[in-house]
Amino acid sequence: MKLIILFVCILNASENKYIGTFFVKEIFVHLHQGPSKSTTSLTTLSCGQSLRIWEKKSDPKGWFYTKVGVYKGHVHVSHLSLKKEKCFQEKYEKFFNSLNLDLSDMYYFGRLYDRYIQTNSNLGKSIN
Amino acid sequence: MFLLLIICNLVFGSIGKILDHDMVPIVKKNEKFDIFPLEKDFWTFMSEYWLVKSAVELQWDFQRPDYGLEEKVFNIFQKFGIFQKNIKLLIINSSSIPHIPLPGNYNESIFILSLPFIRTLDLSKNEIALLILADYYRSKLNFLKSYVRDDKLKSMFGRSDEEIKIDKKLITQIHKRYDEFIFSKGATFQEQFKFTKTFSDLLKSSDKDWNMYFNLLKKIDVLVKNNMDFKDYLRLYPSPEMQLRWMINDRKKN
Repeated sequence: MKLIILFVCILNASENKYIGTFFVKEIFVHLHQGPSKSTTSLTTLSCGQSLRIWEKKSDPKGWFYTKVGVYKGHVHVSHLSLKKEKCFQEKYEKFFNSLNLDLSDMYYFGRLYDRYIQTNSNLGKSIN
Repeated sequence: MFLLLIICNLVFGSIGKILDHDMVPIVKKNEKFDIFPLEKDFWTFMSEYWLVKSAVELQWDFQRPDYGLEEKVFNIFQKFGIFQKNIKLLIINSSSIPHIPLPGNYNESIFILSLPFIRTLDLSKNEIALLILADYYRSKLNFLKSYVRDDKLKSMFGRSDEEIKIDKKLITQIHKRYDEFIFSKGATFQEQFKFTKTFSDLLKSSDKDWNMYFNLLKKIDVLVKNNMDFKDYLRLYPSPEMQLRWMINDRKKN
């Protein structure tokens, strides 16, 4: 039995590859239950939030696995950056706070970044 | 134990002093940030905030297939020498806005495109990409931005004085001006002429694209004359029929 558990643990460890710490670069993004933008949102992540990121072999390209508090889910690579970006809500904190965004606003901000079709005419490839 | 407490106090006491000494200027530095955003940082946020507030009306949060538009849009932007632009395209499931560019920051462009509009016209990916390119040139002429950017807003950009109060009414007013332009006022004939002339001139370098845009306008002209779902198109972009004439006249001159 112990051997089976050890084998499963080793198998899991080899399947999840730790990539490193990344930062959320969009104003708000969703932590998804699965590696797809159509899956349920577990929580909303704010710009500048740091995340420990793993890559699962079974996940489609562009999706990373992470843990945020009690939630374990997926976030799309296009929403992440290796270094902390200058976030609007930090740069203009007083202005941003004065807007009193409610949960619905934050949810829709995150959905907006799920729904955008994005491309960058400089990179030579699509972001999504 | 007592000795350990003394050592802890000495170590953490000095750390505390260092923190006190170093943290105070950091907090003060933060206070120097502009209270109202600089214009260069303002437009993407405001347009996206407007989209967030209009989510239900515009119906952009819906499940749709992947149309694979990124490559076509990227290619046409490259073809016409537009680089270093982050292009954000939002497909809406409503015919209330057929297509429109929203003001964005310097290196960003936000576009809205109606799914019922592209389906009814049966547009190809190349035609959609050309429509996005047209909207990019429309955004460069700043029709919507100029309408929203009134004197009060202009005076607010980058304000950092402590006395200013950010009134939520101001944001509501800005969104109201977005609504007014998009749902009521639209582009004027002069603005439409200016855009058509600019875009027609640009397309002269490619007969294929000029003809494609000309045929696209023909399709739109037929649509708005026959389909009541798109009657509001003319309020936003007056007379595709006139646009066709302007394009022909422009071509004849050259």
